[in-house]
Amino acid sequence: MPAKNPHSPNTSLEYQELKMKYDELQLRVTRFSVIEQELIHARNQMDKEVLIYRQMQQFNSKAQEDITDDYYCRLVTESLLEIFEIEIAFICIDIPNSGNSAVRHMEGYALNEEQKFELHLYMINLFADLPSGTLRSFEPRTSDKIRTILPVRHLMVTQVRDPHLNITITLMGGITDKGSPFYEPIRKDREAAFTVFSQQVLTNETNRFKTHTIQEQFDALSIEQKRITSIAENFLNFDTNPDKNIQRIVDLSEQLLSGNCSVYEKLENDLLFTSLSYRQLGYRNKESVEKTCYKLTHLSGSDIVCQQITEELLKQFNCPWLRQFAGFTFLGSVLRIDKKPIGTLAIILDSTVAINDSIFQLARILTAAISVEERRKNALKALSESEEKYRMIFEGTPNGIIVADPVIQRFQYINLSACQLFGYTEEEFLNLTLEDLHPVETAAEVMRQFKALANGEIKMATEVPCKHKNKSVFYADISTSRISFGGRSLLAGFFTDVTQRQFDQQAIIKNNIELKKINSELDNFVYSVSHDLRSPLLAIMGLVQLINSNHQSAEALQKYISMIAASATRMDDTIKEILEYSRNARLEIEVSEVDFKTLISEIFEDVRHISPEKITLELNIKQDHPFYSDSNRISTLIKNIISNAVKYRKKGTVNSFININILVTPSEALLRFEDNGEGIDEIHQERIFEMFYRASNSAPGTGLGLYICKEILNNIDGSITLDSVAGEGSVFTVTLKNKHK
Amino acid sequence: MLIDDDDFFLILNKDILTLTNPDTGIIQFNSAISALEWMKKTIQDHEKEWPENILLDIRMPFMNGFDFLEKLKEFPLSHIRNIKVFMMTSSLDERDYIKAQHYPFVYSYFTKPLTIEMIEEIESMELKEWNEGTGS
Repeated sequence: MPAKNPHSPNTSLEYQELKMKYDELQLRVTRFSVIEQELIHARNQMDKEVLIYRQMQQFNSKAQEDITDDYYCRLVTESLLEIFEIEIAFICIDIPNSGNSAVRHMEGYALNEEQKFELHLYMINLFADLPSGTLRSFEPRTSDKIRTILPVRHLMVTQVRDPHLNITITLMGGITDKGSPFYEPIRKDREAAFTVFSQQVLTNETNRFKTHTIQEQFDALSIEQKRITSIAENFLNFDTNPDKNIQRIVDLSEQLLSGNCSVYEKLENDLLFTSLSYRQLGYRNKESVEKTCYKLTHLSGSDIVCQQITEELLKQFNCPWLRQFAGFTFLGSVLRIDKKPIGTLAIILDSTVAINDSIFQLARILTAAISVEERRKNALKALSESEEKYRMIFEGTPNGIIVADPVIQRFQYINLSACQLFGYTEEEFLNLTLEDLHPVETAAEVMRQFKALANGEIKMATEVPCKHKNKSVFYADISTSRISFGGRSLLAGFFTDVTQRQFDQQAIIKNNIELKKINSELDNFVYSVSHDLRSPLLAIMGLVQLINSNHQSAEALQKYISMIAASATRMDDTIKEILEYSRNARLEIEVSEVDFKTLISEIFEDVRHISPEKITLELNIKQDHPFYSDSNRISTLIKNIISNAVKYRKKGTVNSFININILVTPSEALLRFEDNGEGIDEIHQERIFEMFYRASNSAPGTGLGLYICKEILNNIDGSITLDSVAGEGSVFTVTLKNKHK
Repeated sequence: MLIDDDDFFLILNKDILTLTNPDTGIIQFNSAISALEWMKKTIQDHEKEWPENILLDIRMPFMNGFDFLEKLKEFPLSHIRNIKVFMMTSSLDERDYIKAQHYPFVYSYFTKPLTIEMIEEIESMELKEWNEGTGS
């Protein structure tokens, strides 16, 4: 090409020079391009690295979220596939101390649990004795054991450990035969990143484990807190029924020991309650639990052990005491009230239960709880007994008791007797005031008495008028006393109903007055009788004295002797009348048919000779029916009336008469005695039937006749009336009851 | 003056008085009421006749001996201070005897019947000295 090049000689040199420069340039361009390529590659590498670390970063942030183990494993394996552009990924987390079995996860290839386990074993063998963080990348031979589990062509495995927490994490990435056309073998430069990633997985896992442990501890703490709260609540909510509380303690102990125990409480050598882990034994009710306990007691001799525990504990121990026997653990504790032992609590534990502090703690709590409960039970019992006692006294007493609050002037407590006394119910009482309980007229006096009571001036207000609900008035003796109740000063009033007493007193007074009257009548009777009997006798004595004296004429002597005879007759009459009186008072009534006509005729014949003058008797009987009564008494009655008519006739007249009219009906007899005698002055008419009352002195008499008549009529159911005008005559009307046989 | 509801005793007493003192003026009543009426009339009429001794029965109907004594108190003192009353009774009751002591003009208390010894005692009695207020 020189022709074409005008600068031929020189051209060759220049060409040479140019060629050299060109080649040099070419080389430099090539070199530059290589550098550029390298730079681009390096940049790509850098980008890739950055991407990897960014992906790792993303993994980290996801891993730190609160996720389950399974999800964490999946996250790890997915990240492996994505970051390292591999086909399959496997992770295995092993924490031997946790008690959980290892967590294994495979991504990109299906393996069952057994195959995963075998793969895990293979990995463990692979890293046996190798330090943590060792990475192995290799293509397994066809005879390699892993080929029986996985058709893996190339794999990269690393194992990292946390020696403190004893956590081992194995990570594997791989390419299978099947995926090889699309996946290149894992590049060497990924190895560092793989190691870094595995470290990150470990860090994350340890963090997760620590967080988890803290959470568990925290949970445990809150469970403990709940337990304590539950115990506290249980004791705070103690029931008034002691049986329920015992059951509650049993439930609580079971709850706290989560089963495997039975609780014996021995109080004064009585097995009060037992409990067993009946849920575990499959029992549902208390009876079967008790049966089991009985069996347990006899099989294991736990009763004897309880006895021994009790003795030992009572001797020396203040704290829970432990003893192994017949495959059971006995935990004993002394129950005390005010430092005095009252019994023993024995918790019998299954030998599978590990003894730790919390069981001792439980024993203490239960001991305290039961002691408190026993004290409470005793206190309740004592309280209810004393309450019962006072209630019995309060309600049982026949005295009315009313408790009032003097400040608010209202009644607070009223017993049954008071309710009955006043007729109000307890509810009604609460709305009453003092004024409602006493009659208005006496309110002032009642208040005065209450004030005197309150001031202690008097011990008891007697016969205070009280007002019943039905307005009737009764009388009560009231004593009061101040009582203090619930911080208030109250006034208790004790009411004794004395209405009956007062009634009785009045009856006694009345009886007494009657007795006095009878006594004075009797006295009067004796006085009169002695007078009337003595009078004729004394007259005879006087007459005898006269007869005995000298110078008496025959005429005078005759007179005195006839007077003696009259006196004797008088005395005899008096004696007869007294006999009549006594007969009427004493003898039984004898009913017989009364023949008025014969009776009256005989009487009249007997008494007519008293009068020296003639007296006419006119007897008129209208009788269609027989009359029955006591003949003897009727005879006395009629004789007294007729003899009065004869004795107190108008003296000196010749036409004295007695008219007797008798009418007999089936029910009664009416007898009318009319005379024209001296009559009875009006002032005497009222008293004429009284004992010894004499209205006239015109004839001798005892004053007994009409009294006897009235007494007879009282006995045989009759009555007598008088109608008389002084100086003209008298009419006695007698009504007699017909006493049919 | 004799006051007795029992006619027998009036006869008896009059006879025995007449027997011992035949000159004695005797006036007799069978009731205290009629005796009082006579006495009132005597004062009214200014009659000189006034009983010196009264033999008074206690137990009489309408007005007994004590009722009579109460009525007697109402008479002028000048008249009753000159009277000697002797209670006559057939009863043995001590209460009557004690009651009788309260009357100043009652001089003695006799149980019936009237005897000569009693009449002698009545005659021997001297009139009491009356002080102011004794009669109340």
